[in-house]
Amino acid sequence: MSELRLNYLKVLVVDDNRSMLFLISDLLRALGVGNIITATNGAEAIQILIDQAAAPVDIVITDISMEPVDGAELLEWVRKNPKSANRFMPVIVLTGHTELARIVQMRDLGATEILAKPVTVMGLSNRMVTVIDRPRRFVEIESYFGPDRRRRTVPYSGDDRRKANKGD
Amino acid sequence: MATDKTRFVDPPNLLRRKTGGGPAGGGTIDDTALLAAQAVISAQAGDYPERAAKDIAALAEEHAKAVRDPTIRAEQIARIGMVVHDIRSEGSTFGYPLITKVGTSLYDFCQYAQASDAQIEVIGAHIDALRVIIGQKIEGDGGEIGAELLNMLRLASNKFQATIHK
Repeated sequence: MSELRLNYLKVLVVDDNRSMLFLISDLLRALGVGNIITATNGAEAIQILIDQAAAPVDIVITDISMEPVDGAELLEWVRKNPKSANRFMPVIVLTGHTELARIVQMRDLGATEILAKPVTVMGLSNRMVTVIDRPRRFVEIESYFGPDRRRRTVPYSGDDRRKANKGD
Repeated sequence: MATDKTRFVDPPNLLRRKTGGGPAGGGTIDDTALLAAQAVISAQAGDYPERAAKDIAALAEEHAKAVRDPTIRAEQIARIGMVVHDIRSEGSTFGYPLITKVGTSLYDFCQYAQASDAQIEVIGAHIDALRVIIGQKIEGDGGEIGAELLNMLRLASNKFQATIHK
């Protein structure tokens, strides 16, 4: 086991609920994160990511429901836009929407982790450790770019018939 | 096997290097930092009932507008859903899981596009329950009072759903 030192990390937190924004920022600071930047919607966040491309943000933590640009659009921008400084950037999606369809949508846009609100210290710290220490490989096919959506490795003796189809 | 259109990429793990992590999978955050983070939540929990009371008052105001003017009910219900979404997101964090439960019930209830008197009434019952929880500072699951509040809201919601499925 090794203790992670988070003081050199730059984390961008995005949420339109200011008390949530301050809570997450304070928690990250307490966990030792050295550089925390905040934005109140996806458009502000994208501008920050462009402006800071020379010393890129390490991790994005974003809410989903925001205007005028929401967390889904921000995630899509990080993964697909040519101006994105790091298409592999870990994106932790913070949401009170725990409906399966919403989670699947974010997963299919390339979310690295989902953190359900209400936030807990263990929930946040576990997601931070996971994206830093146990990153998944990335998959690129015509219809998807992001962390491998298959998290479990299970024994299988048949043919591997995985196809890069549109519905994949 | 995956087709040749599939590309797997293992990007170099710059974050592990940046955080001084050792072999993959062995990283942790030290206990002192975790305790400091827990202290942040404890410190903010003190102000939480006052902040939540203001949010619930805002919710009641949106509800009162919907009661007064049936022509704007649909927009008001959508607005109530947005406000309560933030309220439910914080309750459990600060020791008020009943706020999260009742808030989630209200949020779900606002997704029905009925804008009827019955829906407005059940929304009002949820807001009253939220007021009671914060007003009486009912932490945790609220014991018997908590169970009674949840049961009352469940019955009201079921009654409403029975009317729309007729």
